[in-house]
Amino acid sequence: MSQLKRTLMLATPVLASVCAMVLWNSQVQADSPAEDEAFPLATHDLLPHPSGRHVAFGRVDPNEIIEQPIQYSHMLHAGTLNIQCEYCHTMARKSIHAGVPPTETCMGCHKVVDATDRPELEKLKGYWERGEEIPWVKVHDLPDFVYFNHKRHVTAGVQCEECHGQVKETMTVAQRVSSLNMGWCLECHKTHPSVDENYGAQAELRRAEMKDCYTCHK
Amino acid sequence: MSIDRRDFLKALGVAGAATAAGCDYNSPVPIPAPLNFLEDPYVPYEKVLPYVVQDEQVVTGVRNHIATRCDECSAGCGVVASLREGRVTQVEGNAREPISGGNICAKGVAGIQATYSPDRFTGPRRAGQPTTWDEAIQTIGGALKGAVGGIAWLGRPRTGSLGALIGRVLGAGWGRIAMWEPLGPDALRAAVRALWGVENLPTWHLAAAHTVVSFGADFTASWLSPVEHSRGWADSRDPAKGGFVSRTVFVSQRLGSSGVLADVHLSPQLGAEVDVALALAKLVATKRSYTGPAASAFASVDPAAVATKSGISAERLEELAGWLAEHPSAILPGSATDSSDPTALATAVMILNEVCGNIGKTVRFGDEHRVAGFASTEQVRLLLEDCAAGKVKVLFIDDLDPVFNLPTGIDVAAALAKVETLVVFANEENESTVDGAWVLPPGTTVETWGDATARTGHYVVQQQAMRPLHDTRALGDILLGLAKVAGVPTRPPADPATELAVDPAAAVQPAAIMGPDVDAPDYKSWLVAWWRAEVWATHGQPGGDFDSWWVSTLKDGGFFPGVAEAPAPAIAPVAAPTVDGAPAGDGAYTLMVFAHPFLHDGRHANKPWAQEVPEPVSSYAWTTWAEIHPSTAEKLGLTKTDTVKVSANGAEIEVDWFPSKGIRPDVVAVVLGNGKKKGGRYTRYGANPMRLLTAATDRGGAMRFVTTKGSVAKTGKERTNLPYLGSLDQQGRYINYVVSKDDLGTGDKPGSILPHHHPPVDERLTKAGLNDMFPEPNHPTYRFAMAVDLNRCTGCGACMTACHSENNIPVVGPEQFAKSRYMGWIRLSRYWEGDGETPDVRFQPVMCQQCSHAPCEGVCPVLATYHNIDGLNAMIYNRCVGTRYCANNCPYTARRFNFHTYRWPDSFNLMLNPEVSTRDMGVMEKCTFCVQRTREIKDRYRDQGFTVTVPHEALDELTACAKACPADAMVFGNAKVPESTVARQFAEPRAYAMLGELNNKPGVRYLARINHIPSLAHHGGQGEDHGTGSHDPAKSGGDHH
Repeated sequence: MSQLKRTLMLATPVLASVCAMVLWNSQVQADSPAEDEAFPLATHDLLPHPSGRHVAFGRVDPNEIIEQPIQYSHMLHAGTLNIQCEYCHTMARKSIHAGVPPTETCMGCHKVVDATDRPELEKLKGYWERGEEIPWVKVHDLPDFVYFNHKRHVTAGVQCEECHGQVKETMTVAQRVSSLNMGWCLECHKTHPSVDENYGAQAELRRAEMKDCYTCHK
Repeated sequence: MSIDRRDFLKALGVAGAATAAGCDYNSPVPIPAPLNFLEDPYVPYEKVLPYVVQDEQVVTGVRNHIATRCDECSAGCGVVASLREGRVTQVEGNAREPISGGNICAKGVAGIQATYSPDRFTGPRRAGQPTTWDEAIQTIGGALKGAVGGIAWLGRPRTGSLGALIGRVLGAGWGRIAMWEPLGPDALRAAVRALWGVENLPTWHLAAAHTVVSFGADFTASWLSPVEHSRGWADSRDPAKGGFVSRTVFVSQRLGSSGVLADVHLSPQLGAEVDVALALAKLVATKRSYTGPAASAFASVDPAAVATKSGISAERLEELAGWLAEHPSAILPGSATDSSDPTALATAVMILNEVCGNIGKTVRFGDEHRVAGFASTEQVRLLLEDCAAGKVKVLFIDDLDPVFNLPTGIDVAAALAKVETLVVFANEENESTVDGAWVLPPGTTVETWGDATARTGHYVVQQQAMRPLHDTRALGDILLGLAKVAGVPTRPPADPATELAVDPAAAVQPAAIMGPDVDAPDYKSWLVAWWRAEVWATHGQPGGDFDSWWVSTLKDGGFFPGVAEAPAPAIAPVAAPTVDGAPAGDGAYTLMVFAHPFLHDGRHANKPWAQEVPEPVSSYAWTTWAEIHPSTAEKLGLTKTDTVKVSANGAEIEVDWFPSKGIRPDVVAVVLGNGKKKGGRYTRYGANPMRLLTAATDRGGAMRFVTTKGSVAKTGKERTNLPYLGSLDQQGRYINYVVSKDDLGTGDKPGSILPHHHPPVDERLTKAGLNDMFPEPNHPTYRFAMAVDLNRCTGCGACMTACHSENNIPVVGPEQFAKSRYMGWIRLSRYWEGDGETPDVRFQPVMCQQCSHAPCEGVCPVLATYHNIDGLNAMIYNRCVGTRYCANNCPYTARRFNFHTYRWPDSFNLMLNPEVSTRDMGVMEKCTFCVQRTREIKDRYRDQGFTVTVPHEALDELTACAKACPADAMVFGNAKVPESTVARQFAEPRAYAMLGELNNKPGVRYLARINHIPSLAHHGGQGEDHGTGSHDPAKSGGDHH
């Protein structure tokens, strides 16, 4: 009996939704307006083209290496050379973005670094001399409906490595180690110790605020 | 057994994918096989392009502000442009600039769309073909050399350094300059010149006026300085400001954008408005014992005869004269479209101002509108006649469209065809960018430097805020280039007065000729040199050091020393102005035209916001309509869905019609702005009523628009463009309240509207000693709330437009608009109530009411909408599945559904606000109280300390609508703080919650409008006096879409 009930309960909304979708589609077709240069309407543009290259939200693939225009190594710069993160990502305390550094920042050092027979550095010099922006590919890409503020997290005392991984030790090319999905964000929003440190008696209130959808959704 | 919500959704997702795979979207673009996002959540890679060299002031992700200038009309407001990574995404008012007072009008907000218009010229063009700037400057400069005496300039009024440069390059014996404003104040200028011998126009300061009398002037929408007048008018009505509530009187044949604010409407016979003004002057002069020089003008006027002629009873005239004699007033003449003899009307009205003692008080000389030297329409007509006669070899047209803006009586196109070298400065195609012309795009205000001195003691600087998007060149730079090629003398003439003497009969206007060398390397250095010489030096070199003064001037958006109170000039004795010519023609109706509050004369027609935001009075969009009195409509047999044919002078246009109770039955008025034959892609709607008019000018040189009688007939065609608001009135319901002035400050609860209103349920329960079943939720820190003072609201539409700009609201276009799919988050409800002499028109901006106990929340099956910790009714777009239950359950119809993924040409994407998601098909959206702004300001204060909260003062004008509101009618804030402005407004006796009896506990309170109708309490409640009857449930519902 309970099995039947369960099937019915599942089947009813599924059937209803199928009917709704069929109706909806006929609605869209009947309503489909003429192409107009002033008012182009897209019936659906959410679906990515299967031939394109894609990055997955919410999935971490340890083998995924994103091909970058320049094979920049965080391990070398931040690890071996011990350059602080915020030397290049200067806006991490000021803005929602940590900021990918302008080419000028790279050239600050690389003007005096010998580029002979080092193809990656020659590429950098090429971009600089042509005055062209380096077309980096985003590794940590959040959906456009998400508001994320680096400033709030960095000034609260969240370490870069907590989200971006051990870039100093392991990453010749930046890789994503965190899923960046909502559950992963909320995990810290619920439990991160910096909330207690910063907000003291108001920590509970702050945690409640941090669970509000409008904290991250825009 | 249990199925949790997640299982349910998964099942739905699978079902949805299966259905989608089998369907055909019938779309021209091949759609790939749908993906199941639960299993395969792949999206495209995005690139991130850092700067090569980053300006140290640019912090990516943080917006910069640049003070600059608004050039949408000639009022001279300053604005602040918001910049994100080098592109301007929004303009708002500049609080340091006194005219705008930090506010902005709808036209100003929409101005940004000119910059990102997809129809802009991408570079200079010669006879329709692309050319280079070098070729243009060399060829035109060469033509100038050989055309001395045959050079003319027809352009918009330019002041400041640009005006000086135009005068310097073209005025120095080279040619003639006609700077002209279509629908401009020609008549008022002629009147002021005749009466006081002053070339500039006085300014109206409405805040101190107990009675505001307008003879047709739409002072909150299009007349002289709308933002300033809106604020002044609202202050005069606000008992908290001056301790009085002003009365607004309109003496006009129709009620327009401002006319609908009238407490008293006196509708004179056509042509009799001049007599009414003089009769009032006579009556007031008797009461005030006025015997000054102006008395000669009305000595022979007989008020009783005027009453008969105008159709306004002697008692009404006497009553109005009593108000005018008793208290300070402000009387405004209509513009050229409001009278058959605008100069006579302006003269009579200014005499009335003099008699009422307003000159120097509410109507001031001193901080004048600087219009000296500008051309009248008559001078433009003469110039075009000379063009037609082949006397003009080189003609420059600067940001004007005379072919469209002048009636067909002047054949502008034929005149332009006779000009050898026609140079049009225009960013977009218009009817005057004729074939054969040089079209030089000068860039928009945010792309170029510039300035204006629209007022004495008021200098606005227009900073370049972003790099030009196209291959454009600033007007000043073009002129300097031409000056070099043509060999304009580099030094200013030693004695401009003699060297530049011109024939006063011709349309030659010597502008301010002084200025720096035309040797300046570029226009910016000319501008700086001009400011040094003409502003800094003439104001006693403030600060002692020009460079630091200049930096602070740029930060403030200009230099605003103001002027010392000047004694009023003496008025000259004048004869009574007589009215020339009555409207002629064989039709039964006198035709009037009027400026559209957003499109004005048509110059803003290619801005989709200006087109799509419903015109507040009629709620029409994307169309041209005729205002027709309901009794006339009945006679013509018009139904709601009919279109009408208006014909006169052998031409006819087909337009929609609007039943206006504020227009005379013998008058039909058609809105200007649409019906362009040539223009951008958004201008192809409606019709141009200028085609019906003849081109007569009056003795002051102003265009006489009201000269034509025409006929109106039903076309038999059904209209496709339906109004946004489905109903004209409240249908007997209690949505928008008024309270009588008499009830303010009397009784236990002064001015309270509650006797006429169902109190909120919780209040009744509390009184009965019961507990509310739905207690206010806990808001620990903030309860964001808004108060809208309907007594200050002018129904201008700035809030709606600002909301479009801030929240990436899509433009749906006329086809979808007609299906009631307008997406604006604020609906400006407008109710024409009552059947009295004066229509009781009430405006009410309605946005999401952010209820504490919201009907929409409980019905959302996916929890996409919920009440948040700050008191907001949150709406999470990516969670929404589009059931639309919420919209069905919202009693305020505040929610909008995306029936499509609305897109616009890609160029407009540059002005999207990155802090707000763009919404796709199938998602519900609504006002969020600008959550991105509250989030940002909380974040800013948290930088000072983790537990620092936002002080209530910082919130007052936070939202885009409250910031824009020219009348300061909207106040945002934290209602938890009793001292906050919003909490104090909530406590006002006039405050009420819309549909409060539903116990939704909204976060918006409206403050009832105050009117001058004697106490409603004595007449059995407002339903009978102002509603259209009792609360009839059968009539309710279906009011709005």
